[in-house]
Amino acid sequence: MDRIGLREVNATGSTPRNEGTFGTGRPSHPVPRPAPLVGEGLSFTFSPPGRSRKAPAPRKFVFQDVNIQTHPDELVAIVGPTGTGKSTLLRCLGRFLAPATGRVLLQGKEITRPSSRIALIHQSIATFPWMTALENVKLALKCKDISEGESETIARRMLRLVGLQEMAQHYPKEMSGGMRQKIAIARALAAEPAVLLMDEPFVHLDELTAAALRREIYSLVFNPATTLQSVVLVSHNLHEVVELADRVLVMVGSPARIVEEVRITMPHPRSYRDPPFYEYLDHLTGRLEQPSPEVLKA
Amino acid sequence: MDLWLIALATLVTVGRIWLLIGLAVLSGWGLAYLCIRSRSFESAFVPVVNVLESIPVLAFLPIVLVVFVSRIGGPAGVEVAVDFLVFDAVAWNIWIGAYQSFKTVPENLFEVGENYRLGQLRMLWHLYIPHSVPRISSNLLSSFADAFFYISVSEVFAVGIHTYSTFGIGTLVTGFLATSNYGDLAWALFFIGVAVVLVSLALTEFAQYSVAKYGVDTPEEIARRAGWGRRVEGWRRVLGGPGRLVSSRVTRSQLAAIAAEESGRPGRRRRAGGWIGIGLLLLFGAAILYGSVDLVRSVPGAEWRALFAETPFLLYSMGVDYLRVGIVTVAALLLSITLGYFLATRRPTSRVVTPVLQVVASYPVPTYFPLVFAATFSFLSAAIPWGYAEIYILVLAFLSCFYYLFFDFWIGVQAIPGEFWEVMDNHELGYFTRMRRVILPATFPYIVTGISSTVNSCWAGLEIGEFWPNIDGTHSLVAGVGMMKYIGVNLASGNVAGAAWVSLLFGIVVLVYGLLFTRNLMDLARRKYVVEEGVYAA
Repeated sequence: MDRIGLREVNATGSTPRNEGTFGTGRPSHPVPRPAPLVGEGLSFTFSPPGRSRKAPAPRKFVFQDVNIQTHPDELVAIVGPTGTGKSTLLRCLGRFLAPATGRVLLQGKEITRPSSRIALIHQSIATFPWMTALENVKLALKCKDISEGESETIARRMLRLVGLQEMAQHYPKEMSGGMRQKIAIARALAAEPAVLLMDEPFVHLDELTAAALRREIYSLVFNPATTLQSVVLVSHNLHEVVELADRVLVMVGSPARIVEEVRITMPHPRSYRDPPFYEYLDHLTGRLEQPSPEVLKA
Repeated sequence: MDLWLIALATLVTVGRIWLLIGLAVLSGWGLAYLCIRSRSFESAFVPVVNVLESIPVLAFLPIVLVVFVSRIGGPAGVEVAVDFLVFDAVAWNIWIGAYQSFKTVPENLFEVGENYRLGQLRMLWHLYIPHSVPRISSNLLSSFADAFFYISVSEVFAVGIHTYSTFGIGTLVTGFLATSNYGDLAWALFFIGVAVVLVSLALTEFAQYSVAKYGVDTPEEIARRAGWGRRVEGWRRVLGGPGRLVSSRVTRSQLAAIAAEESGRPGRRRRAGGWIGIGLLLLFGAAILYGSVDLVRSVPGAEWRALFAETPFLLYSMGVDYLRVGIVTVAALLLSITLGYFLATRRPTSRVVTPVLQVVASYPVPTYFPLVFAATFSFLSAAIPWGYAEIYILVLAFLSCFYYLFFDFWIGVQAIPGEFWEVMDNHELGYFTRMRRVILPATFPYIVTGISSTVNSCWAGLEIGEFWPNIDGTHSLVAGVGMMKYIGVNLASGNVAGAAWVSLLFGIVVLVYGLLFTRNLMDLARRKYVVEEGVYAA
């Protein structure tokens, strides 16, 4: 267990980062920085369809009392069975949805609404069909007080970063799914976010494209040319998670809670041919296949 | 007057509308079935309906008067004339809804029917008709609103020295106004309000029921805003909206696409039965031809020459009316964009305001506008003696059509995928940037359709407003110049040929406008502004 860095989650839901154990080769930061993103005591509720209008069913918790903290230069993945509210949690972290309880801190300051400092990459790749690739990326810079020329320079730089500089004047419908997702990533990075939230970003791509994009993504998101400090990834694909994540949060139950944290200490780039890769995979699969505590109680 | 009589008149009018809507549904099923049985019938049906739908109802008025009132005569002739106008207001929506439904029956359901060797009638009864119920039900509210608008002004009309009327609330309202009987008028408006609210509620319930029972797809119930777009189809069916907003949005854009898709689709065998469709088509064409020839022959040659000589002035009058239409449309567009966006992005407010707006939209403007006129005339005529009539005309036209654009835009905003909203929030885009970069392009197809419906309905408002004798019993509302005034004046003086000539010119212009403007904009919308293409899910 120790070899693959497993631990049950403590009350705060997060292990303080040990800089020396990750072995990713990324530079360490001698000066302590505030955690890029902290979610404290997050819960989310919804109203299930009532039996009648007069007697609506009581609100149900999707997840309850979830604590998440990311560290500089860290990619945290959230895994869990379908319907546990992983995507909802991700949207609460970006304040696209308001949680029922809890708060979100971005670099030590509480946020109450979406911010361009936290970028969201969607599961369904979202690009504006009436804008070229360049215009799509420039959209992220509209809220900034910069000139048109500067905006174009930044947008072109971001497109170059994702390898689409030749496609700047093309419309999304002229591109493949992988290229469209790269536009979305370039748009997200153009706003100079500190945190990137990724909601199953590869799920609509074929396996070969997804694998290639995964390889690019990791180097891309922690590229010194970007301002990113940490990434939160939601995924069903455990291969993807083990390949990319520094830390994996396992979310199960109803209401869902984070029940385990797995720290993946394999160096990057990771290969599924390495034996530890399968150890992590087996462990995560086994953990997700276990009945939730509520089921066991019943 | 006896309140029971007013209630009875309301019931008669509502009953008349429902009978005609029922007739439109039955004929719609028949025509749609002929379309799927006969390619030649379909290839004639689609363009004919497209053309007829784009011509405003009132352009048919002179022909209707000649064919039904003059030829049939008596109360029966008036009844048929009124019914024809109302049928024209409701039929295209329902016919197109039925056609689209029949053409889009899922292939697997069709194959199950074939598998069990269901006959033609059983297929119609167990497959095609149930499949069409949700789409038709979504159009009923708009059809009802359209019909109520026209019936309230067409139950009584004057041609020359003759006044023709048929029993109904429209006739009573006109009588109350002419005699300044405001007490009974208030009761009449109350009963109309009750009827509108009850029918709107019943239709909304029916639409929900029909979607739940007959809908092939089930809208997702997702609490977050990302689910809005996915639910829009369900909402659209349930809420419908007034006028032709639902069906007209899909007619021109989808009829051709459906026909093209169908042509490459195997499995639908077209057996005998096509000749019935062709026969009906020929019959319909012959009726139109007969009406036209009859009209042409009834007018002496000298009068035709006079009409030709007057044509430049008529075209100028039409230009003035197009200017009015333009002003009203721009005002409607500005208000729709601001109010529509406000409501679409504030769901709690929208839940209250939108149903109220729908009821108001279904309330026929001509029934309450005279009260607005009576209440404001003294002030407005004193304040703007040179332009008060124009203001009334523009306001009446605006009230007749604003809702079409508003509801189209409102639906369009809600159809924007949740992912787009999140991107806009994420990048902290301001109101104007959102509008210019995302909201307006994303709703462009809806706006084009809304403008088209608004322009069509605006003509109806102008037709009433430009020449309204004794609007409040003592004053008349008359425009300085206007094509619709010309039609009204000619009808009132018994010059049906003059009115028919303007209507013909108008029909041609509308057709050209539809081909050059609406269709081109719709093509552009389909080519570039398809919001669904923005979310990629392979």
